[in-house]
Amino acid sequence: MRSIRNAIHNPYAASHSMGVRLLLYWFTMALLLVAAILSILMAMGVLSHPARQLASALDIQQRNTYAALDAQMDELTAHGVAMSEKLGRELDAFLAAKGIPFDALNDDPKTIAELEKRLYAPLSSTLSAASCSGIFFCLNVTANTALPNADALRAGLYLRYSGLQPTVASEQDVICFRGAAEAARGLQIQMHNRWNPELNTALIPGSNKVATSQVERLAEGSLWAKRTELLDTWEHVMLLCVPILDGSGTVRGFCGMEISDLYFSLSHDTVSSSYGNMLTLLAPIDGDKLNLSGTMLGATNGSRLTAEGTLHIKPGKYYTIYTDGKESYLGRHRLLDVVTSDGIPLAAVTLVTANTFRSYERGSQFAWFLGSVLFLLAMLVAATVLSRRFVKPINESLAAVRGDTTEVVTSGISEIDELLTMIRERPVGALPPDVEARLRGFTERANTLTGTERTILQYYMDGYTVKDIPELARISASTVKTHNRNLYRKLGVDSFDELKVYIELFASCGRSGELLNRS
Amino acid sequence: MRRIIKASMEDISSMERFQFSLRCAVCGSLWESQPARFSKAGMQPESEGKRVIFQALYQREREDVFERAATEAMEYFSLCPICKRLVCDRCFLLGEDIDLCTDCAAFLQEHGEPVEGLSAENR
Repeated sequence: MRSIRNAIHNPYAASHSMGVRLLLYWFTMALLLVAAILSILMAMGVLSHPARQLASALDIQQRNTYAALDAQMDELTAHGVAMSEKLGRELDAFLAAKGIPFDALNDDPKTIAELEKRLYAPLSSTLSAASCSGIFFCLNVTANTALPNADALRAGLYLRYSGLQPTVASEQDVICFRGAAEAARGLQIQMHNRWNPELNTALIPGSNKVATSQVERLAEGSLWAKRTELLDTWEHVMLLCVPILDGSGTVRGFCGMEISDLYFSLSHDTVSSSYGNMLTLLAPIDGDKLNLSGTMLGATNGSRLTAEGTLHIKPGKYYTIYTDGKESYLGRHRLLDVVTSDGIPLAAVTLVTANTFRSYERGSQFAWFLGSVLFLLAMLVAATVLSRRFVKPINESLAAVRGDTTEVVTSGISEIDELLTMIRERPVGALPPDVEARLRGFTERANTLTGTERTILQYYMDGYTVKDIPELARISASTVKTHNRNLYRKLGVDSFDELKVYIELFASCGRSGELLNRS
Repeated sequence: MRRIIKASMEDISSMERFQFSLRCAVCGSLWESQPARFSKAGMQPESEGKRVIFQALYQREREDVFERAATEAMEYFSLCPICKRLVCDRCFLLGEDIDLCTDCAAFLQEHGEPVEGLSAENR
């Protein structure tokens, strides 16, 4: 390793085996190759699959969403049951104190108001403790049985938070939505602008079933009314209804909690992620359809999702696709252990907008593409730097061999340095023995040439051809031919081409002068 | 060399053909170039204009033949480096130190072989 480190840091410092350098080159090349393969796999999505990453993120978020909604509904049911028990006991105590039967409350608005004031305390305390936007109870009695819809009207108290803000419940204002006016005044509670003295239970889906069924355990008789428009308002709510039993086990009404759209939206904000904002839904799922009109929507920042229409559910490899034909969403859902009043199960749903995810996917692919291009450029730069760093001493050594420089250069590669030393120590101009003998013989034969033949040979050495000689030597072409024949015979060559080979060989050895120096 | 030969050649052309000659300065033998026929030989110009054209053609063709004749003469004549005369291959000797004409060789008592003789032998 030390030799490799030295080869990297100071290639001129000392000679290293070419094997070490080759090992370094191949090691670098292998690293670059592995990096390139990883980059290509990343760019192709084999290693970094946006859909797989989204599935993983959705799984995590869905687990949180499911846990939160499941806990919230369990908590509300528990509070509802506890409140029902308190209300039942208070009702019994009130009736006993008054010495009247339950049905005697009909057509007695004064006593009903008195009863509502008494039942306010458990209602208010539960509202403060539970995660809900409103709370109510109603009894199977009415202040005026003569009214046309007296069968649906129920005396009771319905308290709601007004001006909901994403703050703690204790800081919200409580208003009276339903209840006797005397009770509200007595309790100093502000009236709702859509206030009415009694609840119209016909507008609460499934409430009739709760108010009339006989149950042994309160939790069994409780019911989540499907999302519906709140009585006389523009708001939509989901209501938990729990029967109220008297001491004899007779159902005397029902109580429960309200979760409004606004409250749900404020309670379940979007979760921002690289793939877009993740939305939380509490939705009834009927087979492959998600009914948006019955869905409680969390915050919908960054999407156009509204509580209208139906989403068709299409399972996918990595995520489930929810589409209404115009807009698509990607997500997960899981059924809660809750069924609405119309028998459809509720599910916790986590969604992201498909368009947002596609944008992320395209951006991701582009980023990987750009990264790959930059990586390739970096590789090219690295290759250039490496080649210059390692090949430069070799080139300098070759220049020294060619004689371009007089400096003694070491390449830093032991094998090349040995070769350089061998070449340097060899006699200058030394030729293989047989070539040397041939040149010497040629030189000796050249001494036998006549003056004119030597002149013609000189012209040939200067690069002239046979055709040029008559003009240069001012002799006839026949004379030139005769001289040429004599030249070839005396020098032992068979053609002008062979003569040129000798001339070039003498020139390359720097020994042309030997041919014309008569010894 | 070409310039010297051209200056020494004589024009022995007629109206029908072009030909040039060169005489060896040593033996006096006359060398004649290959004759070339005038392209308009035998034709009479029909007008003064044609006559001018014929004359121009004659001059141009004569120049061409003159150049070819000089090239041809260079095959057989050499310039003696001593007396600076043009001599034929029969009168030009290949000497040991220098090539020269037979007259100069005799005067300088140099020996050599005539080019044409050697050529004939080799042939």
